[in-house]
Amino acid sequence: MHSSVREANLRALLSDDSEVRSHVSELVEVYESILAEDVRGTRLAHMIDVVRPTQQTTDIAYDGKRLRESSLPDAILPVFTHFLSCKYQAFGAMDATEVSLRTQFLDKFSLQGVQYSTATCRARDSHIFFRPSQMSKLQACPEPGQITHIFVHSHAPDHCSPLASRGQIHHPSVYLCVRPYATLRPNIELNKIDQMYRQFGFAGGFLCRKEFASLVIIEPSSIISHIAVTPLHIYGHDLLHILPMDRVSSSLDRQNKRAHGEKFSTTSSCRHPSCTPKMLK
Amino acid sequence: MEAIWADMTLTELPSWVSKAPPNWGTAARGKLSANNWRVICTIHLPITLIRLWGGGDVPADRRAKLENFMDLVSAVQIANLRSISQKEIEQYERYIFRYMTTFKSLYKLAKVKPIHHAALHYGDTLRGFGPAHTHGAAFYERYIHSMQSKNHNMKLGSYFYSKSNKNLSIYWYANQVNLN
Repeated sequence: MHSSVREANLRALLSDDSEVRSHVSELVEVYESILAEDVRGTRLAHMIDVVRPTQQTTDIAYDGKRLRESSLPDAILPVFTHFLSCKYQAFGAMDATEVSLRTQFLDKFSLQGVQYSTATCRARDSHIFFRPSQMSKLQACPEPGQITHIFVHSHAPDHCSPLASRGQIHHPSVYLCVRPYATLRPNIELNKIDQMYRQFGFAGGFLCRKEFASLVIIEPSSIISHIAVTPLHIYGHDLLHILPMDRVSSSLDRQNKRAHGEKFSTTSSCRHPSCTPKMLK
Repeated sequence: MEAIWADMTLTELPSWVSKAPPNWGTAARGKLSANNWRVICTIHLPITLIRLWGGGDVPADRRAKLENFMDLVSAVQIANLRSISQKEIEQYERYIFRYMTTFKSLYKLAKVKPIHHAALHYGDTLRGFGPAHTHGAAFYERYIHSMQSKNHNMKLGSYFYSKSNKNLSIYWYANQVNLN
């Protein structure tokens, strides 16, 4: 109670007294950033500040001692090269030879205090709901998938890196290799059951095939949440029920409805012809 | 219940979601914690009930009960979000109001309890104090649970002689000896 009263008094003093404010301008800047800090919604400022409703920076942590150096598998390299090309589009197309094969692999990392793992390390934490990276956040339809690899890569060659072009050091970034769950094939009976789930939006979830679509690469910031996965056998088909476990926002369905006219789209990422990965020889 | 238990065993949950007991709803299992109920109602029941009761060939009353239950699930999901916006609070109020309205018409013999009334006002609490976990009392609930597990003599207001008190007395005595 004491700290809340002191904080309220300090806020009133800083907003009313311009002289005090001018004397402690540096302190005010830091104080406001702390006040607006959003560690998974623990600050009321997150709710009050409607102009900036989401956290802008990601909070990734991993154990650097557990990094294993290895080369990128053949299945991932073309997808990763394509991902980097899309990411650094403005700097021209990227050749596979420009991407370093050596990379460091991880089993798990935490994003804003939530742990994500690869399917081989801890399957329970490997099922995610994510936004495909190649599209803008508004356009991208969230998809379910499973993390197969987590790796740290000092990716872009100098001419492709916007930071390098500005003379800044380019730190290695974390990337995830995800295999998305395949969407349902047109089938009247199955689509009817899928629709039964989808009508309840975030509370009902949706169905997918118990198969994987082609691999995609995403950044940790594209992760929305974990998912609960339940294998179901309906009308002779092996299916998966997907229930997003998003405890931060329930606005997914509203957002998708606005962008695509449906609640949860399960179209796979980067299916636009211009974004189809090219196999390298 | 058997269909729900069967689906429960197949569901793969993230490690931060505590699993509900597989035999919940039986006399052998007994009482469930609030968290157990939340996991069952917001994860396991929707998966099975929508499949069983959501079809067009299901009797209308069963379908209405499912819709009523899903309104409650949606309201609980929103009320437990770690961050919340004004729009989500309005969404919560819509769901809980619809739940209570249909609850009264579907379950005519059921009594409206104070918890139902409180739920209708919870939107104001969210509006005033932010997300649930910022003003929730989960820590105190756990502490009360720990206190409840202690032996006591059922005499409120007087010293209760229990195992914990014996331990405290020994601890106090040991401290006194050390000080002397």
